Amino acid sequence: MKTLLRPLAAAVMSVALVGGLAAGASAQDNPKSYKIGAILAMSGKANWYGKVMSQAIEQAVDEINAAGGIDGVPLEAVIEDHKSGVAKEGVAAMNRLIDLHDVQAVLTSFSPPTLAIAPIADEKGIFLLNGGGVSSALIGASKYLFHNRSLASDLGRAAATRAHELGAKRMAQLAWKSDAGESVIKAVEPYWTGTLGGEIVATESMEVGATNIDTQMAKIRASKPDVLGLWLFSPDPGLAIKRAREFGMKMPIIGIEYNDQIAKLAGKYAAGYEYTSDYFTPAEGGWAKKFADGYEKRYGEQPEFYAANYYEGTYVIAELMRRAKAKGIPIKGDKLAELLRENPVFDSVYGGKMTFQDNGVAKKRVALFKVDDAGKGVFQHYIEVK
Amino acid sequence: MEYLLHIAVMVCLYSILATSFNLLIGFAGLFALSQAAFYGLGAYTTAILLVDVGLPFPLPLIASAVVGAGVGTLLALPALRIVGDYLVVVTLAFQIILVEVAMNWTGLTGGTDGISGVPNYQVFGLSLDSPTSFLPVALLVAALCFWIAWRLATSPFGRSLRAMRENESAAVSVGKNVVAMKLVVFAFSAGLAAVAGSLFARYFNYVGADSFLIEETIYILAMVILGGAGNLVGSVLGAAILVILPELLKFIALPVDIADKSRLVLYGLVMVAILIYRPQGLLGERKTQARTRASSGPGGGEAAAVPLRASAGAAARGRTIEGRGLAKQFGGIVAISSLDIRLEPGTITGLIGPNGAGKTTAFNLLTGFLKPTGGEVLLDGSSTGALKPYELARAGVARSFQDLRLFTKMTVLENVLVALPGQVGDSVFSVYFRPAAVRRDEAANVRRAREVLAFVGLEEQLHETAENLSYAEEKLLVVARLLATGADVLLFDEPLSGLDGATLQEIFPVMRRLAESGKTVCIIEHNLDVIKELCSVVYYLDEGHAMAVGRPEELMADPELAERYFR
Repeated sequence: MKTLLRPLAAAVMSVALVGGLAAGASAQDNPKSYKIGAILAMSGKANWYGKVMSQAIEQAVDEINAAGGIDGVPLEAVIEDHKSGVAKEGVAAMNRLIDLHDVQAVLTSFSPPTLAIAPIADEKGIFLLNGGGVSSALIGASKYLFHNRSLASDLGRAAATRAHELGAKRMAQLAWKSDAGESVIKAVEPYWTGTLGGEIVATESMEVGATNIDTQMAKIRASKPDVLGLWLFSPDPGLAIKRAREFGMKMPIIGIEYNDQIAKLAGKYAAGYEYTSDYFTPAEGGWAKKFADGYEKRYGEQPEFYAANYYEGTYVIAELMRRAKAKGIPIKGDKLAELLRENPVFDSVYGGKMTFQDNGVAKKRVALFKVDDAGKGVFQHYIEVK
Repeated sequence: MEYLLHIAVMVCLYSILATSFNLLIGFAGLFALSQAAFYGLGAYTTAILLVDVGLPFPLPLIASAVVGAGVGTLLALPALRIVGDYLVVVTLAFQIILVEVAMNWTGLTGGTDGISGVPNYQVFGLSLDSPTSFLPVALLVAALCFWIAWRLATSPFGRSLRAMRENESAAVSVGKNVVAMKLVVFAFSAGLAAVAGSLFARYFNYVGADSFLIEETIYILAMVILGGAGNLVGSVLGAAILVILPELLKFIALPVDIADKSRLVLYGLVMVAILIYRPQGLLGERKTQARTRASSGPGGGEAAAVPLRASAGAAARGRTIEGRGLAKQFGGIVAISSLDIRLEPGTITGLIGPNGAGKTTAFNLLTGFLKPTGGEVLLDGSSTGALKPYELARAGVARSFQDLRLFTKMTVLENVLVALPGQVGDSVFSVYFRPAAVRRDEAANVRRAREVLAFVGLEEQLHETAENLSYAEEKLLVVARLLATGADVLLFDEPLSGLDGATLQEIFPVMRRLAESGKTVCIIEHNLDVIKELCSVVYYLDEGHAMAVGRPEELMADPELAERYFR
């Protein structure tokens, strides 16, 4: 027993030593770098999100450093894993970031880990920026939590508005069995049946990453809807579109996300699919094009809007740090939050400016896209939710 | 520093979960896969009672434990009738159902959003909202839970649990109420897991179903297996390693995009390596040798061979067991029909007959392991029909099995100890609230067990694990275990088969002394020399009924039986 415990104790002490050293270094007045944390889905079934988000963060950090960092001090990103949305992993990651790296700003994703780390952010005064989680439960979870992604509820209402434009009355909806999917249902149902005067004829849910949704499709078909709303996220809309069409359903399908993965899964059936989204397109030119070109050069693929959000989020934090330095106040999370509220307008990689509202959510344009025969999402117009 | 303390808090939480799970799997042998569900149940109970009802400390904690234990008991009810794969299926279903309920009962659980804003503990106005301030509470509760589990596991009740794990029917045959034991251990295991859940809610301030999936149960199971099933200290060690190891792996610098996936692979490799080199877990099952030695007390030294009456306690009451018109059918197959059999005190009765004649079925009927489809069993003239096998064993009718069914992972002494009747420590209430009485009774029981072992000549193997005994010693241990029950009616199923002549000569006096002490002894045996040597009455069974009854020499002289069997 003793022989087993001895190396274990040594290992724990090593961790303590490393932690102590890290904290000691960061306590210096002139740090060698400013660290920002990111808690992403680096492993687990949704690790695709972690991959694109972390890539974009790395790109942003490299660009910022190439341009002189934060007034000469380089920025450094520390990526942590919440294993695809596990709350306790998020908390462990948050503690690591604070204790071992002394970070003051964290880019977070997924609702459960974000909700779990929110109290820590409040207690320690850590600035949080979410560019991926879409649950409406995130609003107000921490006074230091901000969002540079339109929440799913906004996208869902925009999609419902489009369905109304198409003259649909009977909506069937298929949603993720998750906070994200349910928050869309919660937002869309009263809007569709109340404001827009429609009827919900079927509500089905599917597990994230499910490979067989035939039961749900059969029920939806039996309800005879004249529009199908997909409150799903990548890559599941691809399967849903494909199976809906293979089940012989010809009504318009509208969703809240589309990307290469979805296109690949949906195949030829993607054509005609409409979706609402934060509108990131390199065609905007300027910063958007520069980001997209750089991203493609580094990673060999076009950036998704998730990548755009985390790229943009890194720049937001860098800008806040600059503002803090300019005012001579310490770079602390609570101060960064104060500075954001003081001036909530930032450049957006989507084009133009974005403004953080009082609820912490950045106001962005919600756009409507329609997938063409080549499988590409083509911008149609912006949607104004009633 | 808070990071390290956070890890320590997590070790505390998982220590509770692993030790409580070990009670179920390692001690009781009940392979249930729902520990994370009870963990979640405790977390949700605390969160709901705090956020929606606003109950003060410690009521949410107590309520979590009670709800966990209550639901655990309810879950055990269907589990009483099933074992093995079916128990896995039932508990797995419960695990999945609970998560589904948590995700769908939005009004109560917050659905997929979960419940956030669970208040921290407040102590004298101080909010325990950081790992530093929370750790003392976590340590205290973990220590308390460990003590509860430890006390149960190391008590005579815990010994009975391990006996049930080793062989359920053998535990029943020595008078253990396995149904009640399963209910109790499920309740304790679930209740303790729920306590961990309550801590979780308080510490994370957030409860969501994602934290209590089947993967979490597997994670806890890995801790139990790694530390060693049947060893509570091992569970704590397993929890510590599986919590700390991933954190240590974080210090291996790897490219960002593959770092965490690679660490998972490394983590898996380390686990595989440990299980290859320590398949029984890091610590393995704890032996109770030292404790039983220490508790043997004065007079508990190497016991000399003692006379039967002293050892078997056996101022036998002279009991008669009788089967009247017994019948047993399995579907269309008639195993026993119209069997009349009477076993008298002070005699050794033999049951002989070809394979498939119904001898073991007759034993099963007499001891309540099977219910007859016709006829009745009478003990001293009273029907035993309403008695369950363990009740019949407690009433004085005990049996052995043809395939021995020893508690193989337990020591010789424990095999006998577990069979002693009326142990104070078999009561969970006494285990926690009458520890002195349990200790005194245990010391006396150890002395009794040693006397019984001395009686059958196994005193030298006292602390040997049963699986390490020779075949002859195993047979002797079967006799000792049966004697220890204190039963007056002893039914031995082929106790002497496969033994050499010299060993038989050692055992014959033991069997004879049992009968001389007034016990009612019956043996199933194929060796006619044994029958002639020991039995005063023999039943010849064939085709499910007694074809002849009489003294051995009478039956062997019967030409028809000689033709059918003795030839």
